[in-house]
Amino acid sequence: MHQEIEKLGMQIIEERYKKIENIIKEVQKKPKDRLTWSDILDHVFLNKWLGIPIFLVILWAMFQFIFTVATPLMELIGMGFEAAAEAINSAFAGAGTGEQIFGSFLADGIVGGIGFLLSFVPLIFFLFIFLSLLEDSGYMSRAAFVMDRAMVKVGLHGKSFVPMLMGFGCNIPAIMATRTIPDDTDRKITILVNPLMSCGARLPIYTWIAAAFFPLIAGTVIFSIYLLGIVLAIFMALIFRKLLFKSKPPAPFIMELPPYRAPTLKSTSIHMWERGVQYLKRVFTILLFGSIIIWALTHLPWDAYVAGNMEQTIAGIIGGSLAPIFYPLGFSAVESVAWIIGTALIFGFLAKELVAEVIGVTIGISAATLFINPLIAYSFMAFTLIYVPCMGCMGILKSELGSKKWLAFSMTYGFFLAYLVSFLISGIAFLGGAL
Amino acid sequence: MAVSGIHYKDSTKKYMAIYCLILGVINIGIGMIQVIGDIMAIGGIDPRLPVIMPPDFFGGICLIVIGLVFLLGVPPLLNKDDKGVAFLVGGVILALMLGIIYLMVMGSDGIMYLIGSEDFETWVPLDDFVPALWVSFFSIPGAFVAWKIRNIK
Repeated sequence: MHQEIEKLGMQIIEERYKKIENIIKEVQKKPKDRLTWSDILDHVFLNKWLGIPIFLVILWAMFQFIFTVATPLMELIGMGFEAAAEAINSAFAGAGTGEQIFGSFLADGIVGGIGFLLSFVPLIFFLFIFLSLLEDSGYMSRAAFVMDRAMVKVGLHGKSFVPMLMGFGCNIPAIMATRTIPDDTDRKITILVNPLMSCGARLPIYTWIAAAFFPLIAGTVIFSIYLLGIVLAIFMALIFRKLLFKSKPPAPFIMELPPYRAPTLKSTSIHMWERGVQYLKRVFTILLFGSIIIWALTHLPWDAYVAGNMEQTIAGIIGGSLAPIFYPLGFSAVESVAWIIGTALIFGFLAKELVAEVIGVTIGISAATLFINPLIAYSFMAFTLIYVPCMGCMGILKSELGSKKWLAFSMTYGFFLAYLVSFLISGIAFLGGAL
Repeated sequence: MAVSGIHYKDSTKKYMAIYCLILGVINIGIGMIQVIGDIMAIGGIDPRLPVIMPPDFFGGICLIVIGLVFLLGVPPLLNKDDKGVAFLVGGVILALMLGIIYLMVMGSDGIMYLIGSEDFETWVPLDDFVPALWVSFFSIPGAFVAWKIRNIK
């Protein structure tokens, strides 16, 4: 019944557009067969065969741009905060135990933690500059248009692609944006797969690992992780539609394409700032809180920390108990640091950025020494992409899906999918004799 | 002044077709060399490519896609159809976008060298003089076509 109403609605829209076209033909003076600027660009960007490859080229170029151009700024910010943390540590070096704990709290918990997270600000801002340019130029709606055919074939509504693209920024507004999808089944499927779209908060993890293991092709590696998220989202949508909802594929939708415009510096800057400032707010609120908790768990009891027995700290004990879960994935192959993975992933529940911070700053281990080879590092990147959304996202999942059961389902399938994908990637490493 | 639609002389379209053909072949040829080179490198075979044409799978794929855009413009331009200009302009936009991005990559790598980053101790500008950058130079004449028609409503 609902499908029929939707079809009828589509027919009404089509008729309306035909009428509009006829009126335009009558009133607009335009020499026959002559192209406008928008026609020119749409011939290429909406081309049946080249539309999707061009979209992928633009996406790849975006990651080349944001990773490489942001790196010097990230390096300078990181160097500044490292120097400040070292200065604080050395100032408290000869003091009593109480002062040393306080010094460590200031240097590693506050300055080091915040500095690490702030070093990713250029990366986040460059990501939003590029996304704003795509939106303001009118290309983003074209991307949704070219993906529509593919989306419908795999069981997603054409309208799903816009919320999915928004997921590259943050999954929370992206999930809320699914309210524009009229059909409940289409909407639920889009919500369930949206966390697979890699949000900006996961970018620091990818960047940190890619820079250590794939320095020459970091942009491409990060692009491939984003692509993996899109492929998995499409694949899971197909499975959910066939097995979970057992409904017919959605009808194609009609989209109003805005004309192409040259983005202005003012509008791009405003869009970039509006989104980027959210990250800054997170750094000084939830991420600062997370940094303090991480510091406490990794530095207490103090005696164990000073003696270098990190496995005896609270985080070490918790992480150690979780390490066996990750043995089959190869994450715990470096035995001396096996406990770290579990601890880091737990903090990923609070905020994804904290995964990299736990390992890189508070515990102070470089990514290069954590995994035994690049493929296992890549497997870990894939795991963090998929395993569970952050706390804020979970809240919105519950309210938009309308029940705790759906939330539990979303988290469970996410974890098992993450485990399966990482197992397969690590399996390739095993088969290739990398382990 | 309001301009309504583009229209070129038949002889101009013939030159545009030749230009699209040359750019298409160059982009696809170099892109394929980069892709094959990367596959060989992954397989443990040294592809022995010059410094300015390093093996790069994704970079090569991008050049192939851009080359295909140019090539799709050749038949309509030879048939004196204005639609062919769309592929010339689209290819130029994509090629220049990549070229500008790689120019910025070169600049940021230069900054990394200047601030003394370990990974860039032996860096020279030629390291970043990749095909996506120097092939984009050939698209500059085409950019004039795009610039001329950008305000057509």
